[in-house]
Amino acid sequence: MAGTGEAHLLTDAADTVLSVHHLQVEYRTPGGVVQAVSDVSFDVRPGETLGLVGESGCGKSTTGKAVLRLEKIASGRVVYRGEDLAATKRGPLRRLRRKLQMIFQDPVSSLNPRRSVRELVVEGLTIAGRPAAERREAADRVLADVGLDPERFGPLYPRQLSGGQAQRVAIARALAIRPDLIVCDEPVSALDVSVQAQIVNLLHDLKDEHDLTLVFISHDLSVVRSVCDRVMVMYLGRICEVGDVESVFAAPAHPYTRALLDSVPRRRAAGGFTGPALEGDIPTPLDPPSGCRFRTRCPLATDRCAEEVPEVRPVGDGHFAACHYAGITADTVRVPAGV
Amino acid sequence: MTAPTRPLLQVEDLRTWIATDSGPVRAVDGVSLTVAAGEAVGLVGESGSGKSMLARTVMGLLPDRAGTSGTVLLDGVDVLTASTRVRQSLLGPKVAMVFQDAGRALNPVVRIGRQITEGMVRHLGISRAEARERAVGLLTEVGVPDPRRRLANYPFQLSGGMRQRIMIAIALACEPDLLIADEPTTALDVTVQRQILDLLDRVRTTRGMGLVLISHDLGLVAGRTDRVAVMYSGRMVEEGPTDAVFDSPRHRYTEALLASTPSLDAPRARRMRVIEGALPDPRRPPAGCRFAPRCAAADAACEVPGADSLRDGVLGHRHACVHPVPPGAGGVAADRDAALMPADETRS
Ligand SMILES: Nc1ncnc2c1ncn2[C@@H]1O[C@H](COP(=O)(O)OP(=O)(O)OP(=O)(O)O)[C@@H](O)[C@H]1O
Ligand SMILES: Nc1ncnc2c1ncn2[C@@H]1O[C@H](COP(=O)(O)OP(=O)(O)OP(=O)(O)O)[C@@H](O)[C@H]1O
Ligand code: SF4
Ligand SMILES: [Mg+2]
Ligand SMILES: [Mg+2]
Repeated sequence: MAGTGEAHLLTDAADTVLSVHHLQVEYRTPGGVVQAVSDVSFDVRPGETLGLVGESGCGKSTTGKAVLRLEKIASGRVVYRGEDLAATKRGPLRRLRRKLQMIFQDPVSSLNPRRSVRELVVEGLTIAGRPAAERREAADRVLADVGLDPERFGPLYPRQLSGGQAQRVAIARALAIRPDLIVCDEPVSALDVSVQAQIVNLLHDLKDEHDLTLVFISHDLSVVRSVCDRVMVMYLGRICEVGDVESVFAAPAHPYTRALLDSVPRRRAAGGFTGPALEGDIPTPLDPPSGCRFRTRCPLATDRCAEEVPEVRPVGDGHFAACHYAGITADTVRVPAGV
Repeated sequence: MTAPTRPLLQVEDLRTWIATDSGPVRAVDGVSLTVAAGEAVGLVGESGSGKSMLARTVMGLLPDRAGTSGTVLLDGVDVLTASTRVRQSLLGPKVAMVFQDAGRALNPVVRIGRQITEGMVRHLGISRAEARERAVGLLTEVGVPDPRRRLANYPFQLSGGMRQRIMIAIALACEPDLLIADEPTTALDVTVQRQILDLLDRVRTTRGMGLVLISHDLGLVAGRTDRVAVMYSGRMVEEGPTDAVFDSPRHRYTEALLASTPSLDAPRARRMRVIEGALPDPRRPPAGCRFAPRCAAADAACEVPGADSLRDGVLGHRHACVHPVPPGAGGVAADRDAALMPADETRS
């Protein structure tokens, strides 16, 4: 999938919480049609945390919103516990909404500026018609859970919060109605490392207590590594690689994943980085490259990459990649002819 | 970095508070900080410790009901007492800011092309057409693909990371002498993040721009700044050369902060390290050291008012701890492993 295919999916859909097939999302803009998500398939297993990483603009937020039907799907299927969400009518969908939550990427702008923190966090319960006493109790609990003193923060409005405080309100809000699945879009990006650790631990606890399943979108690879069971790497609307977080991080098979891991700032390296920077033209989703979408920047690209869309194929135990030359590194092999 | 005669930014004993129905929130409570031309200063600290408020004070962009005391000299001009007109004229060419929340800082109903060119036309006196060309150049530099077509987009049509890069382009458009970047790369993947940081480094060295980099990403601050200041509950608790502070933190809060940093090199752990407890209520902070209620080393001496004044150390490495970490004892674990690696002289 910087290709296509479904080799990485579980054969039995009953083993999944969410199963996404050939998801396609497009946006019409003045400049043309943005192919934000193209032929993306993946499954999310009960109780797991699936990480979603990849270049800015590659379609992570769009994927997250589309699977919860917060964005229009051009084609494809999204099955949540046996129910096809794309075909679900509005009424039953509202019932499912309570089990499916999204934490949006822009915490402050996602919060209604005219509601107090206390109202915001239990909005889901209010809509569900839960009694005031229960709402009060829930608000106190979730605010304390995310490290915000309910007495101090409850009466505040979003504009009175720091970036990290607003982000924690957004998290508390998603947790308050005890959902089954949460898509978290950059949920800890505005938090210092200690508060971040507190939230990550909280998510672990909630997963232990009841089978909470998470899709975790993040640019912070060290957080992804400690939070996620599996990770999926995207590039320009397609999947590059998916697998157990340990194997993907220890032995990235796709050239893009490798470039990504090489760019992580390290304390001691020159300029804070280890590997060389990615070069080549950044393609546009209005007119994505033929074949493998990564080929314009890939050190291994050949003519074949321009012609054939690589299929997702196994490269190890529970580890899949969509590259014609997956597993080959530029140092071990001479760059093939045609470059 | 060589120290020029007059620092670009000189903040002296700054206090910023916001009146609320339940009493004033002391967001910044006696902070001093200088930034020289061409210098990069990191600002780190717990969420809610006052970093953004400090930045907004320098920019003169405070919420209603806010009050200030102390001085903030921007190239010699005191922005706290300057007239609105003078302050307005500084924003853009003298000082610019990348806001933490790009979603809120951009105007949702104005095309991004216009948002980038507006300041250039006003402050640089160039034509709209020329400003547009420069905007395309800027967007290319911040790595936005297809820049010409993107100028016609509204903010909602962009991904989170693209909005953040638009903010950076707007901030750099008028070639500011000082850039305050508040969490400028939180929505960017590491490859784009690196491109942006390289760009900022370049502008800093070629044009002598000063940079205040506010970030929770300690790896990033470590690699990209000359000095770093650590804030806790409105106070500055440690400040000094970046290497010195990260290799040998003296304040107990800095030590705890570094110890909770996850690393790609460390073994994968299910539970992450936290600093137990929370920031004190900024309406009634404790006397003495504000970290004392969470500090294992705290005793009665830490609770004496004034106990948290900054103490001078070697090479301008200052800290506000009554019982400081012994020198060389508190660096991050990953760093101790790195002792095997050659020392790098190449860092900026
Ligand atoms: N308009 C306001 N009214 C009241 N309190 C406010 C207002 N804006 C900010 N605060 C409070 O001031 C304190 C400092 O906020 P600030 O935004 O400077 O924190 P920060 O260090 O930038 O944190 P973060 O890392 O989470 O962005 C916080 O406790 C916050 O709740
Ligand atoms: N409402 C919209 N209208 C038009 N284009 C859009 C819209 N929303 C997103 N896009 C485009 O779709 C593509 C994917 O965007 P998306 O927000 O999913 O990226 P992302 O992977 O979440 O990126 P980031 O890491 O920067 O948040 C981008 O090219 C973006 O500009
Ligand atoms: S080698 Fe070819 S298929 Fe593999 S990532 Fe590079 S361009 Fe894509
Ligand atoms: Mg996004
Ligand atoms: Mg802030």
